[in-house]
Amino acid sequence: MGDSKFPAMHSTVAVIFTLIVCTSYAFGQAQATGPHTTVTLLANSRTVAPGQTFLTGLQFKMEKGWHVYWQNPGDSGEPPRIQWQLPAGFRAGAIEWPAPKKLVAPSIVDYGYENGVLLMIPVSVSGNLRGDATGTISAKVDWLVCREMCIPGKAQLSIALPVKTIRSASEGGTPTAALFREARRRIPSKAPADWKLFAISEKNDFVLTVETGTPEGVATFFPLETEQIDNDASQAETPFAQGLRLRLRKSDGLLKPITQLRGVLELSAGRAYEIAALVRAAR
Amino acid sequence: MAKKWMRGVALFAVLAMAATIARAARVGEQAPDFTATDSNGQVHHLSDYRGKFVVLEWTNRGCPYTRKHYESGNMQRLQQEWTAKGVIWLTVLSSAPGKQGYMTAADENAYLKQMNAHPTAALLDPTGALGHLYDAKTSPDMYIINPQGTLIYDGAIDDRPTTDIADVQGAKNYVSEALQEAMGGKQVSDPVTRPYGCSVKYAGGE
Repeated sequence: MGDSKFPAMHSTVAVIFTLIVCTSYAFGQAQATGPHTTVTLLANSRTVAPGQTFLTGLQFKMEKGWHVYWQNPGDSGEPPRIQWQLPAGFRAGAIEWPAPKKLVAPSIVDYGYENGVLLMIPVSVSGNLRGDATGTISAKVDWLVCREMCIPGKAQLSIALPVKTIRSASEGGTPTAALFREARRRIPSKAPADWKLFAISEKNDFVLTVETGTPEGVATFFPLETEQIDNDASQAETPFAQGLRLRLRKSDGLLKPITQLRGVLELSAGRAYEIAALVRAAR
Repeated sequence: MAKKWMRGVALFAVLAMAATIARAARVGEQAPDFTATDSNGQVHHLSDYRGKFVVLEWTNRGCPYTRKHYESGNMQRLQQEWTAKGVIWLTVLSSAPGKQGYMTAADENAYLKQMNAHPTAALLDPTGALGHLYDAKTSPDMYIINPQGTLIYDGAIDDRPTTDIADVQGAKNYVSEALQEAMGGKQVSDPVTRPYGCSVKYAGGE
């Protein structure tokens, strides 16, 4: 990088950048192009009704080889962040994170998404809202996109949704609806209540036992908390008749005993579950 | 003669095993000694600095997290402040040749001058040996070793894991906190934090 070698070019770039930003602020665009990324704000409904909860989606499309991060980014990186500007009576919930992928580099393992991802966020509309207005939903988005190197991206996005007292037909067959359906399939399910989940804390490892009732061959655990397990260590699986055991190396950064391991467990065929396993000391 | 050769092989095997078994540096334990060459061709051993506090700073000039701390002048201020108080500040470059952040000795010296950086030395680690020894994951990843040679801090530079220069001000700087506490004879209150930043661009992989 030339840094200070090309001040003229820098200011040109700055002017162009400012123009782009101003344009998107002025017109409230739903889509922005950042470094190696296109980011789009979507909704699964064309209009919204008072008392309704609908889904917004933040869609990232990356150039080949580039990735963005899961809520726990792993050893490096940082998850996308959204700051909402919503009309009165609208409230945004938490991001629904699809199951991530392990992104492996020498000595480093990150958790994130390659190619593209749709992050869904539920937005609720107050029942007291009067109909026949337009709700403009705006989001300031910050993200980090990495390949061999990392580049921060920023965008200001907005979409206008008419508020109608009568609920309009759903987005059923539209391409947007298909995107949301596809994203839903990647959202981890709650672990079934009849599963047995626990972890034994050994000196250097946690041994996570997952009893699903059937033999399980493969599994990957994605920790929700940082500094609990060593992201870079292999996770050795031991299948048994009722499920499987997974050996997870403790993180060097883990200084105090923990009471539970929370995260996403991915079993064969992409079945992903949100799990919380109580941790007990080895006898 | 043959016997001597055999003994040499055996010794080499033992050393090689010791190197692979050795765990990464851990807080509260003896920091592993190392030998590394700086951008002026001078050789440094960690053991040279017994009796002094040593800071290890992993860097990559292209990484936006590192740039946040250099373009804001924060890293230079820290280097100046702590080296003035007798701390040995070693900036480490573990990027492999051809990867982001790799620098020849001449490039690094020009860069240090351009940025007005003030480390005691910039250690060139293109093989990643030093990085792997400390299990450095990100830039900037920070370590502090006390005068007895014990690792007393491992983690982030501060509590704002972002690339935004505006976040430098008001951040809690873990390195300054740990140095202040340790120099005052106190326990370090946050001895391990989660490092943030870009992955260290080690040899291998993509």
